[in-house]
Amino acid sequence: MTLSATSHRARPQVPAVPGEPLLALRDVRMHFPAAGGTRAAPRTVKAVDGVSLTLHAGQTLGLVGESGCGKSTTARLIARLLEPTGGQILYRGVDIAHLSTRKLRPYRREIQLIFQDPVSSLNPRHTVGTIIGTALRTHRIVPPHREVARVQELLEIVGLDPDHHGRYPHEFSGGQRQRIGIARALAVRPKVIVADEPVSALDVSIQAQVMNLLEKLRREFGIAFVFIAHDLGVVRQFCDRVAVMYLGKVVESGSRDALYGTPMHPYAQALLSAAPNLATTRGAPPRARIRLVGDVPSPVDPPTGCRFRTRCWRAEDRCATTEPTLTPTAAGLNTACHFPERLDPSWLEVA
Amino acid sequence: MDGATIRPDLGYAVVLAALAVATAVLARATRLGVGRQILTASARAVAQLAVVSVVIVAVLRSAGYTALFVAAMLAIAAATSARRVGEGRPAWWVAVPLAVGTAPVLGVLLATGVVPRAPVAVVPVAGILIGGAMTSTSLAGRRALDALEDRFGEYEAALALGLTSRHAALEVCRARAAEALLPGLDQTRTVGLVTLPGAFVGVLLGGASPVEAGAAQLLVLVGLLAVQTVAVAATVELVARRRIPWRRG
Ligand SMILES: Nc1ncnc2c1ncn2[C@@H]1O[C@H](COP(=O)(O)OP(=O)(O)OP(=O)(O)O)[C@@H](O)[C@H]1O
Ligand code: SF4
Ligand SMILES: [Mg+2]
Repeated sequence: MTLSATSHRARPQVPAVPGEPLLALRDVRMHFPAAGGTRAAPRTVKAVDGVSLTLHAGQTLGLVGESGCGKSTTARLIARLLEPTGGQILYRGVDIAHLSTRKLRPYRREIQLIFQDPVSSLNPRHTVGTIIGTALRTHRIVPPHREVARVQELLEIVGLDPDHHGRYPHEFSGGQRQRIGIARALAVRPKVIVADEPVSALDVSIQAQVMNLLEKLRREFGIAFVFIAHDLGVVRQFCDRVAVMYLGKVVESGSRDALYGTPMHPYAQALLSAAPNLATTRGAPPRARIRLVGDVPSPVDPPTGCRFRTRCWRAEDRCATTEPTLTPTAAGLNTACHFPERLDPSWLEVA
Repeated sequence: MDGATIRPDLGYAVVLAALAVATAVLARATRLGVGRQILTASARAVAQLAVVSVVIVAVLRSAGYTALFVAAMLAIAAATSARRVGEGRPAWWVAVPLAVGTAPVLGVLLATGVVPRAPVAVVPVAGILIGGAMTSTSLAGRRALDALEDRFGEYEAALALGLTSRHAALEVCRARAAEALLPGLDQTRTVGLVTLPGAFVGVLLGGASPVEAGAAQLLVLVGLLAVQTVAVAATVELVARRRIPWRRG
């Protein structure tokens, strides 16, 4: 499949602007209308509340955080399935945050999504060939007489039997269906794939196979990934850079090694200390676990100052009044905390 | 036909009440969750039909009142459908499929004189057509919204591929909404074999010949299919354009 790999790179759709990262979010906000508001005093769910991220070509950026912190909303914003209520989404330097459906079309080819639930994202009435063919036709990727051949190529790339293009989604297993979703995303030859928990719904035994496939796509096609997962071990294996989200904000981000090695934000430290599969990687003795007390506050009324202060053991008065911003705290690491501090490394013994 | 009509006497009242209560009890025992609704719907039906039986005589005497009565039927059908489809907040746009489904068919039937332009003919035909439009609009609307809820990922995948929101939504909800036409199709397909629907029986009881009754029924069935097809198509379009608001996204 090296042939398609070269042709993949040889079709610039959106002009590359030198010096601009492939993708950058600048202070992006997504406030959904919430129940219980009035016209005079509307209430909003601040699902994403000032997120800035950068992704360079071929890079993989992991997005981690507890349920409800805004990871999927960020994914939908990047793919422009949602129009942000604030901030910029720059693709090769062009702000696509408020482009119309028509103007957005060339960018649709560049950025694709892989979903957590492959079942609900595939039309049960269409054959695999039709599902992938629709993607090809929408952007006239190949001439009509080449369509079936290209579908078969794509099936082969994702590790499915090319002769199965006439089958329906229900004739495949969960892992195979996820591969169909991946083939559909690949059909338009994207530069960026946003994968929102792509393996969480799969059996553990299948997860590694699908992760290997994603790894292959990144290697062979140079596709950049925004990768969302609950499993910090998978993120660590797959991602060059990692951003930790809490209640609609990025609280710490940096290179994989810095973030997993010397996290400085208390929330990142808690998250890493609680990850079971990190502890067992090296057969290290069970580590101390930081137990977070209290619930995640509501994204409708987030706490003033630092959003993590209601659960933070290092919180002081200043944390309630002044919001910390991302600032460099260690080599390759940015942290949004007034009191960044290394933890006793034995807590996070995995390096 | 004296011996063949239904007489609302005491025995009738007892049987009717017993039937409604037994149904409600059964619904509760089997936990279908509609026990109460069966009773209130039955009680409403009693009250409504009592009122209609009284006013219908006046209505049928005047063309103006007849037009007003038909308009009221449409409004009530719209309100019912709007609440069924919208759940929390009524989806008032459903009035459009009801109107664009019913008006042309009724118009053609009256303009060509196939249905006599007399109130006594117009009211029942309009009632059947509007009722059919209401059922299929509610069903199509709910099914389309269900489909978009269950298969939101498919909608998003289509959007991400560059389809317009309307086109992506149509792909997801059209087939499911079209199922709202199945009851009408089946009724037409099996008429005379499984069902002898209301119009046939009514016209027969009214003293017409079986052939006349059959002709009337055929008109109603084909008219209904036309009305329901237009109503379903219009409902799907309104859902795809988000005029009928989605439950999520
Ligand atoms: N369309 C919407 N309307 C209103 N609120 C929404 C909408 N989508 C998401 N939210 C809210 O925004 C917040 C963030 O949701 P999101 O799905 O982005 O979280 P997540 O990090 O992906 O969580 P999970 O790990 O459970 O998938 C949640 O409080 C959610 O209820
Ligand atoms: S700013 Fe304060 S409350 Fe927030 S994480 Fe840092 S120490 Fe904790
Ligand atoms: Mg999510």
